[in-house]
Amino acid sequence: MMRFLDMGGYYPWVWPAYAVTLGVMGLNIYWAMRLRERARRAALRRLQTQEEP
Amino acid sequence: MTWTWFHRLASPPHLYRTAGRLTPWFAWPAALLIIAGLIGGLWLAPPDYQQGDAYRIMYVHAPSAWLSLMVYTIMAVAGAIGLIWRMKAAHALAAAAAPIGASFTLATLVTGSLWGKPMWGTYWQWDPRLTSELLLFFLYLGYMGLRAAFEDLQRADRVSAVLAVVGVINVPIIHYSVVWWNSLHQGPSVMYLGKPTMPPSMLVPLLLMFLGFTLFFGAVVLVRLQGEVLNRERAAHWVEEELGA
Repeated sequence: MMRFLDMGGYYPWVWPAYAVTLGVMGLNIYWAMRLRERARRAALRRLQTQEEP
Repeated sequence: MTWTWFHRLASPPHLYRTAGRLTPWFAWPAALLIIAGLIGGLWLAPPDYQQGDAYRIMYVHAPSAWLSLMVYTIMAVAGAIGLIWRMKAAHALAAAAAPIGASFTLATLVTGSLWGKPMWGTYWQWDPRLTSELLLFFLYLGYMGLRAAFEDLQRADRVSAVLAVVGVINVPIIHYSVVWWNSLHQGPSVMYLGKPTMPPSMLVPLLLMFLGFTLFFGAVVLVRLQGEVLNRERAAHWVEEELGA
């Protein structure tokens, strides 16, 4: 296991590269869900204000 | 060939529902392919005879670079379609894709720097490939900044589409920079004169990652596209039916 984590001595560059990429992927999922959710809420709010007399 | 499907995509409710239906078909295969690619790239592939284990950065760097180019090309094509046929859905697609492309371009630059340090002895070099990729990042930022600068959505769509179409000239420059100029960056490793330059044990995980990242983009852009369509159509009747309000 330690040999794997050591990446032949290149661990200071290999693991941060994977962390950055997976972080970017995670952020993209979060941003996309947030954009859709905010758009849904904004549309619902608009529809509710239209219904009010 | 019938173009009905293409014309139907111009309809916002159809686009919204299609995007919602297609998302899981992209998301789950993307997750499986990326997990398989990670296992193959980090565990199963042997160390490189020259670069040792440092070359494993390639499994995240190369697919990120592929996305950075592919997404900008999609934005340019969508922008051109939006300008020529005045198709709002095409502008919505380009707007949805831009932040994804920008983030993967940044990932390409960062992972490339992290690969460059142990191999070249420096994090950064004003090399043609690195410089043109940095220019692509600025084009993405310019595109998003331009969109945000206009309150009128139609004007923002048109102006940003022009930037996307003009800026796409940078895509072949990035791709061929390692061939046209002397570059520190290595040449094409997957396809060179039609034959892969690496053994299958290294190539297969890389291809899995390429496909996984592409499908990941598909899933994320479809979710963003739903948000973009809702933001543009929030006053439309179909939104009321769709949200069950």
